[in-house]
Amino acid sequence: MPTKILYVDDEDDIREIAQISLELEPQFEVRSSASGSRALVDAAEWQPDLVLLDVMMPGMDGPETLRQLAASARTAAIPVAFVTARTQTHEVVRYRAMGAIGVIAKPFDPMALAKDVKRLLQERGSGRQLL
Amino acid sequence: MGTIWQSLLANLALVSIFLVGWDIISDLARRTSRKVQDLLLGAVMAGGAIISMLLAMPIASGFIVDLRSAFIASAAFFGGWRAAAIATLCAIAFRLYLGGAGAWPGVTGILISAAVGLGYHYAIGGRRRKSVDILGLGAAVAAGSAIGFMLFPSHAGLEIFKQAGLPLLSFVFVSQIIIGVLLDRQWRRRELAEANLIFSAMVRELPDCLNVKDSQGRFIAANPATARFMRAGSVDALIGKTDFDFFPTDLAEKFRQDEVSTLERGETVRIDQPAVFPDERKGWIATLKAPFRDEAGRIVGIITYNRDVTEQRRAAQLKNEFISTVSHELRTPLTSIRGSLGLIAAGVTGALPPKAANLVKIAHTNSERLVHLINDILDMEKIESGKMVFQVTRTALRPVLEQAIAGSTNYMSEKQIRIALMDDAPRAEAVLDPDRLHQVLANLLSNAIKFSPDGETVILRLQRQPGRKLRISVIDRGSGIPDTFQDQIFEKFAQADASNTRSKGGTGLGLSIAKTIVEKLGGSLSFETGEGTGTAFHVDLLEAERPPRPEPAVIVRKRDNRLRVLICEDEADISAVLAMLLDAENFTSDVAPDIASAKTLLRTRDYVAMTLDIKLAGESGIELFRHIRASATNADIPVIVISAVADETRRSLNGSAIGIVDWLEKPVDPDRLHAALEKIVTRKLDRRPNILHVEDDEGVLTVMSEGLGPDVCISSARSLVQAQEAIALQRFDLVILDIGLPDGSGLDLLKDLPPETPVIVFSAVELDQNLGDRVRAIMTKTKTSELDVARLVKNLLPTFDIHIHATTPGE
Repeated sequence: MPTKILYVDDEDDIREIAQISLELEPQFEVRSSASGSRALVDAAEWQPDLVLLDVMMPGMDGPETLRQLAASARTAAIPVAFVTARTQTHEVVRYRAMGAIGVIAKPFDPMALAKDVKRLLQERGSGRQLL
Repeated sequence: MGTIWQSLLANLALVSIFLVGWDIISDLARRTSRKVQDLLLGAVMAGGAIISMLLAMPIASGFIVDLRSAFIASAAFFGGWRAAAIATLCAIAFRLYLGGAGAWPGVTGILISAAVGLGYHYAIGGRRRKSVDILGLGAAVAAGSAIGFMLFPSHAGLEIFKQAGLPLLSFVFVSQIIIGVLLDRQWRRRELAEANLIFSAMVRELPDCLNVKDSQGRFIAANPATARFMRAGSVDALIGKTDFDFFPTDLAEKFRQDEVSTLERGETVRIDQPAVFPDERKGWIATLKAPFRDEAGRIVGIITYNRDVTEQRRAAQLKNEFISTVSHELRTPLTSIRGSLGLIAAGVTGALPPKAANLVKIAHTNSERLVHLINDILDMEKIESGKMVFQVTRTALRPVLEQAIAGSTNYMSEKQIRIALMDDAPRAEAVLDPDRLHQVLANLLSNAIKFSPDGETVILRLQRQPGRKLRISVIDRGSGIPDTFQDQIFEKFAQADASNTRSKGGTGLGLSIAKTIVEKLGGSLSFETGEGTGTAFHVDLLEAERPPRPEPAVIVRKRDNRLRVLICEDEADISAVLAMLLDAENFTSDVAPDIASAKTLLRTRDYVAMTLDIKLAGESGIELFRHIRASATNADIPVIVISAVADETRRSLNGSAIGIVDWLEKPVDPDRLHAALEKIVTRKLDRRPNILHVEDDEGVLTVMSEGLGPDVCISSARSLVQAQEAIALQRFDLVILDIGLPDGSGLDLLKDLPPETPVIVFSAVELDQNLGDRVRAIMTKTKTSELDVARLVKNLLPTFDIHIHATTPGE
């Protein structure tokens, strides 16, 4: 069974690159959403194994999207990680406090993204604390 | 005679009256210029000299003795040339007016006094007057007066000198001292008052709060800014009160706590705290609290200094937000650029024509550089603003080193560079932030790789140093750091050669960041370099106290005596697992990721065994195996072969598989590894006896080696230290020991040797003491030859638990 990953970012270019990068891992099935509100609908419908969220998005930003995902019964169990350029220590601490399982820094290495995501999922599976 | 003394005494009283007069006048004139004050001093002293002459008693017709010279000299000494001119001219005019035979000698005496005073005045110049200066002036003026006598007509002069010489000289001396001391004190009082004026003006005009409290927290002194800040109306309204009179109790209590801790610690404390200013504005103040000490050095209060830092804090916050925003704005387009180029360059979109591939590679490399630069700038900012968070914890260093190597593979592949790990500090632990150490090592390794010639091996070495220190070294064989660049290597944006920035792709911030991080971790970063031979960067850290841990019962050996195994393995995950298993078996291990670095390590260090991955990064492990067996050192090293295809390889090595202890398949079974190691350690394996010859004479070493022949394996140590290193790394079946070594007595080695190792002492020193059971023989160099010793060794060998096997290299 493939691992379903939903990538959420308002930048079309980055969505496209991330999709290609993630699909380098044959095990991954990847879809993307262009906004936070779109992601709420897609996640509830598709039931991915992981949601990767950009932080800075117009309208509903990443943290708000995470809050609403967690608040809805249909999506509360889906793990969420942030993919963001804002990775100062206090920011990372804040994301983790929100309930994100990990933070991947932008710009990501396109050849390593899939591996990083896989590691996130494995570490979560093994109950190890990240970062 | 009596009358002369009386007259001079009256003169002295006059001196006192004039000094008091001068004190009052100078006080009244304190606001006038220095010039006017000098002239006034001259006039007062001139008055003193004139009245002194008026009151003096003539001792012969036309001759008078008095204290005028003290007045004149003092005017010159304290007032300089202006005062001297006035006093001298007035005194001369009056003396001439009095007339008589003594008039001209008197005038000369006045001039002499003025000259002495001025001489002293200019000799002292700007420096502070000392008591000895005033004493000297007194003596000089008195001597000057004596010269005056000599100018009298000869018979009269002698007569007068007999009568008045002693009283005059002594009175001139005393009065000069009195005038000198009093004027000097007055001078100092004035200076003090001026200094006070300056200080109080500084404190008064200071916009920041400055105050002094006693140890009970009561204000002793404060500036108006403090009074305003405390809403106290005036400074006087503050004195004697405490913070509790002005602030709510809880706030005052907090302030008091800070003061108490300053008092207790006796150190200056700096606190940043929120505050409400008199205009109801909310902001921040930086507070400095320093102990206030009395003259005896006892702490009797607290000096407090408060400064409004609201603006600075706001600026820092803005800067922080700005950097965060800029980095985001830069990173977002960079994510697309790097992502696209990365995917194309990796061939995900299909193969490109060579020219296009090259251009894409250039673009990709440079986008990577930009990413590093932004990250480094952010790190630098974090460090400088003190925002870098360190999660300090007790950390085993070996895994951090292994991860740093694993993380460097990106840089390595292109240049065919390998990193060998030399672990000379097994189980070392330090209290630090492992992520930050990883960052530092990654930086040093990427530098080492960048500056290494293609195909070279970079060495990452962990060592113990005296004083519970640990040293992590990153050693490359690059071109070294040029002399001229060495002292700026840790500076920001420093690059040895501007063209390096482009060819090597550095940001120029890495080493500066690394050094700061290492220092924040309580360590230090240094380097050694030789132009053309390479560079070693050393991270020195304090080793954590080792908790008492029961040693495994199977092999009882001192920690520092642990046997060393070489792991020859290119997969970082597997070498890490092997290292962990070996550590559990109480072995130290080094890691060689390829054949070249394995050869280097085998050439330079002693190993009790090695594990060998037969499929080593595409190279043939078998080739290495054959190389080892044919080489001079470690030729008989037991090998544990580790391979995914153990059985297949076993066949290809048939016939030459001497010394292969076991064949293990991946994943490695810890029990089989244990058994293999057990075999090696308990020396069930056939091998030549291992003999250590400790001897500083090259000739003896050679002859002994000849005498013992090829059936034994001889290691030689030329000093006590070398011998100690050798026995720490390796076990020996026998030690031949010289006593007189360049760095100490060979007998010192006996306590370091494992108790079961037999020893033959072969030395020029005649020994008759009992050295214990293990010393099988004591032979004296002049009486017995090397060959005798060799014969004895051969005779002894069968009694040891060693089977000499017949195979030597080449057979």
